[in-house]
Amino acid sequence: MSALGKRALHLFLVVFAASSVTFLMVDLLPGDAAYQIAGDTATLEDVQAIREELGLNRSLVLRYMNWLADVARGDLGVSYLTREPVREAIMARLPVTIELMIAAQLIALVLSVPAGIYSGYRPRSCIDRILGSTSFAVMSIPVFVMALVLIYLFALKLGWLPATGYVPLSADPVANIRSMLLPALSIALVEWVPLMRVLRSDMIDTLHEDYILMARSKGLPTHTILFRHALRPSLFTLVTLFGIQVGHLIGGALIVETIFALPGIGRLLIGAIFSRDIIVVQGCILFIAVAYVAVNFLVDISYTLLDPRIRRGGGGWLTAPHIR
Amino acid sequence: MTSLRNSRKGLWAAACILLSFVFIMTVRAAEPKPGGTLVFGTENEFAGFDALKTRGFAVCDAIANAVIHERLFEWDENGELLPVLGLSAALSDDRKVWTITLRKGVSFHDGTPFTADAVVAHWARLLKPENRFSGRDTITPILSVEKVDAFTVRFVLAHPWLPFLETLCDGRTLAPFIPSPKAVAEDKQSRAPVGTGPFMFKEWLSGDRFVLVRNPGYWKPGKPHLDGIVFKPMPDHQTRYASLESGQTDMIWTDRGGTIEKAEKDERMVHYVSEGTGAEIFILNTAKPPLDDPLVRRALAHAWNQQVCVTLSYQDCIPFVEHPFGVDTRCGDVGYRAHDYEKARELIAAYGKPVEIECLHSNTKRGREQGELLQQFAKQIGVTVNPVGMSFGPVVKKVVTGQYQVSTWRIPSYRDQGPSLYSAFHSKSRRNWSGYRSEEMDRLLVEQNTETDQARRNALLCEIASRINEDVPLIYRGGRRFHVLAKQEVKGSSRFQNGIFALSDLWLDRQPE
Amino acid sequence: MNPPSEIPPAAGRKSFSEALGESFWLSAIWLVCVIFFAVTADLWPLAEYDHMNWESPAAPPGTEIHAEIPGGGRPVEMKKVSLLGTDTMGRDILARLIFGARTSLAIGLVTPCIGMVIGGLLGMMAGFYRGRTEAVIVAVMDVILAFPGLVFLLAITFILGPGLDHIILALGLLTIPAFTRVARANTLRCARLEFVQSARMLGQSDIGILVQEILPNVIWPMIVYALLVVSYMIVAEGALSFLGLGVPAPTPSWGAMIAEGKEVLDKAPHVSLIPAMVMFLTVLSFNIMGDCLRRAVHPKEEQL
Repeated sequence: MSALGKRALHLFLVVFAASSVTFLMVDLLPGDAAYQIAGDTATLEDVQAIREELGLNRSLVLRYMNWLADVARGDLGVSYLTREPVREAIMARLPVTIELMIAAQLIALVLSVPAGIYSGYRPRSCIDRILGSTSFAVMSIPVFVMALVLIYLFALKLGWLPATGYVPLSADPVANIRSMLLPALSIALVEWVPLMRVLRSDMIDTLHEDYILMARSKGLPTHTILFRHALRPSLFTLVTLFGIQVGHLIGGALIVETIFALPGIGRLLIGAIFSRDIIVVQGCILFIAVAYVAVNFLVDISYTLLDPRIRRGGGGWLTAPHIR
Repeated sequence: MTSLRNSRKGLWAAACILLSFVFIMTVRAAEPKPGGTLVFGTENEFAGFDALKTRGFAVCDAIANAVIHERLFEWDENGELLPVLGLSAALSDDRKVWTITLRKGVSFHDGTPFTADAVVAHWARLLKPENRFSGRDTITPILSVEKVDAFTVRFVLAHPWLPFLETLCDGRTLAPFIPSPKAVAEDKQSRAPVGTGPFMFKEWLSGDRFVLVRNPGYWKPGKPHLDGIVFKPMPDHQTRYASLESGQTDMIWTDRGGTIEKAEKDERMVHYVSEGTGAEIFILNTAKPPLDDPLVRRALAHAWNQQVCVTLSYQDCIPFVEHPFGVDTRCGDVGYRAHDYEKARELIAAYGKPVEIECLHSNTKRGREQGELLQQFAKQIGVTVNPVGMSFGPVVKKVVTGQYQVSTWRIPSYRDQGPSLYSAFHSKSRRNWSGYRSEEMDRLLVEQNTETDQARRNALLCEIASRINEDVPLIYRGGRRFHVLAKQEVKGSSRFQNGIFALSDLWLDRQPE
Repeated sequence: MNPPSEIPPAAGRKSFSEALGESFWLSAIWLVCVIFFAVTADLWPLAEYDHMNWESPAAPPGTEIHAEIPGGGRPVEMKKVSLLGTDTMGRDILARLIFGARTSLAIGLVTPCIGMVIGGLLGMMAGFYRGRTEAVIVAVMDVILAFPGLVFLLAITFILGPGLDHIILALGLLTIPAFTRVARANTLRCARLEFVQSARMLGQSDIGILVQEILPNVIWPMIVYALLVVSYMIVAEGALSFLGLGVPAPTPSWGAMIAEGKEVLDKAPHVSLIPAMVMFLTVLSFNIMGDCLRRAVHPKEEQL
């Protein structure tokens, strides 16, 4: 099978498995969408009638098959609760989520890579200790507290940035970036810590490899050693975590979206889970699964860029147990 | 010294100039300025605007609804009936037929003229049994709605019914608002509502904004002043307030004492309050042991300290109540079971068995506090309470199917509580979730429904409240009180009834950008 | 992988405890204190952690409160100075911190262990064998990652009921994919190194290679990550407790205490910040200890 074919199969299987397991589990949870819709003025007959109307009284398998058939035709369905087409709901929220993810991860990288390199180069130095304690202090402050502190500082005291809200990029690019800065910063301040810590740790390891010691004994300048020779092989863990963080953020940053009143995927998904709006949940999962597979695929490719010998290992000598 | 005196003089002069300036400004400010867009920060995303299809219609939804659609009548601050789409309402001698004449020359946003047909079509849709209108239990006395001529309709009742107009024009539900028959027929009303109101629906970006624009063909001359209103759902109340402070919103909904306290200290802000009827309650399942025994229910009621709940959890933004008719209604002594551990311990001792109860609550911080408070109070009388947090749907499922012991619940805020109390406590009602059965209560409920004398009916309602306190199918956590915070620039109205702030007549006192 | 001959003489002469450094011992003292108080919480004359002082919600440290001291029969009510103040429901923060340590340490420490052991094993297998094994493991992990964790937590709470053990189990399972990917990435990186190849040439078994050659190279990135997951999990439990998915009331936990203080952040920041501070010191201590241990084990670093 070609590499592309393998990837396609992988994608299909992951999406299928994720969506079916989600369908099953959401169905398992007590209180279906009909109770949510009927609300506190409901009667049992109302609930039954709503269930009938939505087709919730059909069997699980039948409903899932139905959903699959609709998806195959490109129809993601309509929300049980708001009657909003799921594709529209996701498309409306996609720009917000993606923009937030990119902005947050950019800030996180800008903070973590230099800090990680320096800390790994001079572990237990004064700066390393300061960076270490600050990063853990920042991590101990939950996102919702951090976000409020940032709002207080930058929106209320200094008045530099808006406290909440989202302005579409197409409407006003400057206002858009201003509205995204605080939310992105709140996320990045938590996300950069793991990236920095693993880079530091891997850097310490790499700097003890023989070839680095050799380069050092040859008298190569420090920055050449750090950036040319040591950085690339030290990025494996960072890139891996980065990929997981990106995937995570594509699934939505619920708390930040809630606090900054941003219309992102996270609020859509959580709202749908709590109201058992299974059609919306499924639409989100579909999208999130595809995103995860794509991101992790890119991460895997980056491994071979970081160390070209890995690809060779794919079908070759590392499968040696059989040969031996 | 002289320099100081001089500077003082200067200050005085400046103050005088400033004062006169302010005076001129206020005089000028009395004149409404047209234009501008008001941004209103709501607590939740709207549920929709179709009386049949939309459920979970919350109070912020009602605020938006009331500027898109109109009712037949409204009430002014003094409780006097105001004609809106209806001009007059006349009751027949047998008190069973209401004849209502309608306003002429009004049309819906989509161009459909407003006539008796629109009113009849709307009500016929709600009354049709197959449509299972969710509020049907509260309008059972209405038998039919008939067209008399193009601008007159007739409501036929099964029996004389005092709260007819109150129910027909209650702003907190969708039923009283007349939608465009065309939009309803095309099934667009839910997500793109069309009414006769001062503002027209423009767009709804889910989770982000709900945009209304001025209705140029509005029937009230010179109204509305604003060019548009944007509703933004902002689920976090702390940032909702921050956005009011930093200028992203002009007006917000709030139910947190902390933000209200801040706004009252801030001279740029105005705090509007509206008392509501109904109550925040714990509903008790009287059909299931151990709460089937009134001793246990009464013990819990005495153990519970409503004042602490109101102060600690609600930061005094809702009132302490003894009945669900609102703080403005005086009922005298309704036998409220005050906080009294000794009495509670005696009652539980009389029951004689160990009591363990599961308490359902909503999965929010405030919900959790309610559970923890009940747990703490019950602990003092030796009763174990296990709080369980759940989202709305599962709580509804458990309560509706009777698989609960205690749950946080609410008596909705209606202008008239008679119909809702009937459906909550009559032994034959399908919505009697506490499973409460009492012949005396049934008699009172039926009597208040058909009583034709207002004073006697009020006495009956108060008696119902006494019975509730006597038998404890519910425990009050607090009453309802609604709060809107606005900037000083928002002028023109303070009409705020039962949670609905009237945005129609507002205008913004600021320079256009 | 570090032949003893490479250890420089200076480091070699240091005793092990000297090599650890004083920051190690400071951290150790803090952690021992936290664990000691958590274990012996019942023995101290603390206010009852669920007793609410209606009169003094969110009171600053040093306020006098009515405290109930658990006695033989009915609790004795007495006046007491609250050292760290009270939370939004008027409960003593000190008592809740100490009792909450039990919950939060259990969640913070056990959860990453579950992820590390299972995830590490799967990741090493995927990176070492590659081929079909890898394809299957990667696919399963992608499914778990794409699957909304909240649904899983809701399902676990619904099926097994609420409780600390179930939350730990569920959160632990959710951390597996990240550990798997970290372990796999590092296995991929080191599997081609000369010493692994030579071990293979020498005919060492797969398990031997995995344990002796690959594990030492994979373990540090995993431990570094696991130590970060500790604070993630403690905070996450707090957020979950408001969704009805955390530890059932009235049991306190640090995460829930931090989250609760959000409402009064401007008026009474101590409600949130004191537990956050305690968590910070605890997590920092774990990290410092990990770092020092690593240096003591790999003395070569001293050369730089």
